[in-house]
Amino acid sequence: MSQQILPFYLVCDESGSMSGEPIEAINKALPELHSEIGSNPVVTDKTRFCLIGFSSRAEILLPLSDLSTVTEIPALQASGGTDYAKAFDVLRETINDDVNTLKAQGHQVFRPAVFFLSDGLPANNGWEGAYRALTDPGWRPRPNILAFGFGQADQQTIQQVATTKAFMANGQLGPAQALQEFAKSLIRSIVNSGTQSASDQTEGATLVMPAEVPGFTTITAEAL
Amino acid sequence: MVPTVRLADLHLDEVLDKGGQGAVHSLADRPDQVFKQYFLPTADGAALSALVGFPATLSPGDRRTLLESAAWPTEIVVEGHRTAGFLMQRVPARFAGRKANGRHQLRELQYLLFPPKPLWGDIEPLDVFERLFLARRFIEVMGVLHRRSVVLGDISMRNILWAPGEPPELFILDCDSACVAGTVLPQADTPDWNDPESRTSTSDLDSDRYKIALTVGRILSCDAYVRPGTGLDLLDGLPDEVAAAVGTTFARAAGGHGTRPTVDEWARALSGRASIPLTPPAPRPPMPVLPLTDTDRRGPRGVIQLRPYQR
Repeated sequence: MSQQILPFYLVCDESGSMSGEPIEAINKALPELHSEIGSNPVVTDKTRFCLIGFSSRAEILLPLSDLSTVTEIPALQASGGTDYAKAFDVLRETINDDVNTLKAQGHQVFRPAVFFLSDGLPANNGWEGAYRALTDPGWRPRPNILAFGFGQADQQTIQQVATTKAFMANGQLGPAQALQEFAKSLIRSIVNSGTQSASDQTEGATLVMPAEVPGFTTITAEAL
Repeated sequence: MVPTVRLADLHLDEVLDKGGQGAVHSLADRPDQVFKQYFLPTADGAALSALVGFPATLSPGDRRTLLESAAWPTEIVVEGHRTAGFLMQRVPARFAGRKANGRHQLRELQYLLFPPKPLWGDIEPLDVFERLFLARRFIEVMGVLHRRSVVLGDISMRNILWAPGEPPELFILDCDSACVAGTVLPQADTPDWNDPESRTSTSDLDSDRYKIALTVGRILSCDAYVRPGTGLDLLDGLPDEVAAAVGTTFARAAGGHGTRPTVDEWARALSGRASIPLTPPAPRPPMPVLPLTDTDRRGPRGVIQLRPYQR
C-alpha cells in the first residue's frame, strides 16, 4: 500500500576519540531506539531509520529500514580519524538511492531528517564541497540536518553543518549522559514526527525537532 | 457545586506523561487518580466545570458506563482563582501491556490497526468477535455523550485504549477535549483522524460521527487508514448481517454534515439485527386557504314581547 514516509538518518562519528563512554552510550541507546520506534505501529509505518558510522571512512551500518522488522544492528566501534567529506558523500548517495527506491514502491517520501553527531574537528580535506552537494537546493531530496557537537567539536563547524538546528554539549552532563539525552531527543523527534506527520498530501510531513536537549546548548544554524 | 480541590492540597508524585497542552502527574495519596495540569493559563474554567458536573446529570446506568470507560474529569484543581487542571481516574493497569523489552505500554487502539509484531510483547490484538464487542462498547459510551449533545472531539488511535478479557474493555483518554457548553481548550485533531469536511478547528456532533465511523471501520478491518468513501475490507468471521450493515453505515459517513450515521444507527448496524424500513407518514396536506364567506346569513331579528309589568 502507498504510504507517506519520513526517513531518518543517524550519522554518527565513530573516530578514535569516541572510544569508551561516548561510543558505549550510543550503542546502549540503539536498542532503546529500536524498541520505542519499532513497537509503535503508527510511527513504524510512517518513518524509516538508517545508521551511518563514520571515521576515516563512512559505512552504512543499518540500511534504511522499518525498525519493527530489524532484529540486530551492527555496533559502532571507535577508530581512525574524522572525515566529514566521506560521511557526506555516503549520506548523499544513500539518500538518493533510498528516496528513489521508496518512490518506485509507490510511497510518497518527505524530506529526510539527518541527526549528525560529532566529537571532533574534521580533517581538512575540503569537506565543504561534499557538504554543498548534500545540501544543494537543486537536489530535491536534500535533507534537513540537525548537528550535535560535543567533546572537541568546534561550535562554528557544527553550526555550519546544521541546516535547521545545532546543539553543543555544554559540559553540564557527562558525555555518557549527554549522549543519552541526544538519543532521547532523536527518539522523541521520530515518534512525534511519525504521529504528527500530516495526512493531508498537500501539507507534507512535519519534522518535529527538539527545542532543547539537556546537556546541550541550542544554537541557530548558520544561514547560508 | 462542582467538586474542587486546591493545587496546594495535592501531593504530586511523578510526571507520567507530557503533551502539548499539559502534563499528567500521579498523586502520592490518591493512587486511583491522576492530575492533568494545564500549561496554558487560558483554560476555560466554566467549560471544565460543566464537564465535571456532567456525570451527575446522568442516570445511574449511563453514569457507570461513562465513568468505567473514560478518564472523565471528576474534580477541578484550582490555584488561587486560576483553573490549574483537573483530576481524573488513573488508567487501570489492565489497559497496559508489556513490550518485548519489558517496558509498560498502553494498549492503544493503534495496536488493533496493524498486523502484530514481536516487539509488541504481550500486546496481542483481539480476534474479530472481541473487536465487534469493543466496537459496540465504544458506541455505547459515545451514545451516553451524543444523546445529550456532548461532543468528544479528539477521537484517535492513541486516545482509545482496550484491555483483553471476557468481555474486552474500553477506556477513552483525553476527555477534556469534550464540550458540554463551549470548549475547554482549542480542539486538538489527530492526523489521519480528521474530518475532511470540517472547515474549522472545532468539533461538533457531525465531526464526531465521522470519527466514530473511522473508529468502528478501522477496528473491524484492521486498517489504520481506511476512510468512508473507499473500500472497507472487513476482517473475516463477522456475522453476515453485521458485515453488510457496517459496510453501508460506514459508506454513509462519507456524506456531508448532517447525513452521517448517528450512534443509534451504529448500534443497530453492530447488533446485526435486521432493520425494517418504514415509510414515513405522508405529511398532512395543508388546509386550503379560501376566502371566508358568510354561509349563514342571519335573517331579520324577531322581537321578544315582554309582558308589561303588572302592579
